[in-house]
Amino acid sequence: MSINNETQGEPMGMYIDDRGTLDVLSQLNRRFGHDETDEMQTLQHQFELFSPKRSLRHSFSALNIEPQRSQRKEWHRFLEQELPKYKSDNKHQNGHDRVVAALKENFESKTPLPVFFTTHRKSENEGVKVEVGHPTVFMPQNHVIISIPTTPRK
Amino acid sequence: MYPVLDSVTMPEGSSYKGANKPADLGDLYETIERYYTRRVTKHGATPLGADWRCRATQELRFVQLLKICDFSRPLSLNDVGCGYGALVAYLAERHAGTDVDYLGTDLSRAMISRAKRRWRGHGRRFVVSRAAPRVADYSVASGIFNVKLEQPVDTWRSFVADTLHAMHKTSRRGFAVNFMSPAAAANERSTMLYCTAPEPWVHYCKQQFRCSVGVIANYGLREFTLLIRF
Repeated sequence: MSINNETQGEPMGMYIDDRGTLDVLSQLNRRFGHDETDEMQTLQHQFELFSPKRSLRHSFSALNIEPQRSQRKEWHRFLEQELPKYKSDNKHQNGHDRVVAALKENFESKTPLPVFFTTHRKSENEGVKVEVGHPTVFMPQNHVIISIPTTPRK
Repeated sequence: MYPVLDSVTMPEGSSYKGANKPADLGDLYETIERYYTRRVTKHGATPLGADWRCRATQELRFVQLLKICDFSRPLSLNDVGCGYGALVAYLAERHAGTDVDYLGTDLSRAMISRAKRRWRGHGRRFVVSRAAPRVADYSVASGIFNVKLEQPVDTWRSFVADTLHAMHKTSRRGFAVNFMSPAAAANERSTMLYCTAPEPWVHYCKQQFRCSVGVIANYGLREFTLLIRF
């Protein structure tokens, strides 16, 4: 599976390949998981890690969330140039800004939740979605679930 | 070598039994040097190269350690175990308004060489050394007590004690260090880590240095910072 920018007709696989996509999702879900919530809350409080003034590329790099070196440049390009072209479930925010706002709001709240990143078929919903729920049957805690529109790679 | 306190009971239930022979620590220093040289050779001048998870948490530690400093006036600072000089970047970003006379020391020549290359022309000094070769207003050491590798715990405690004494000797106004708390031990590398509760080292510093010791904890990381003020 690859995250896709259908607006441009270019699958995310043109940016990072399937293994890289899975690797980044795995890194995100470890870093924003249940055991890391206190740390992320402190980082947000101390450095305003997620802010309209910073790009996700900057924030994720500060957390060392990156694919392997050979795909890093394209990952940065996806975050900086493609994700802002995505729609979101907030009509006033593009995909990039929606993710930033969701992380900011969560980690600035008094009781932040762990965050789970996932993907959904772009043919069903072409925007970034944010909701609260249980991402998997083995995760009993509520999470902020951030889902990125995706098109399976051909 | 400095004596360590027989009377300090460690969380594990053991107690200090006195100092090790200097030769023991010589081996320890060589082991540390080799470990960090390998890290920086593999990962370069990055947080991973100094065995940190990421820049954000590395800088969160700097926030706590630098609480020892009064940035309202010019100051001198020894950075013990400075690695590739990440603290210099942090100081430039967060304390640009204060004139800081900075000296970084590290056991690893490879680290110091990267630090010098990185900060060439910025008026910062770096030396390969076990301890700071000068007295400064403040000293800080981030993470140098964490990775004990295969060293016996008693030997590692002697290393910690020696380092604290050296920092005390080379600081005019105070120094700050951090330690991993026992909660950090719950992972696959835990046998290679030195984790401790704050109390033994707070007690040790108060007795040895006749100073005030502040503990900062609960800053999101499984560790704590000691601020030792004279």
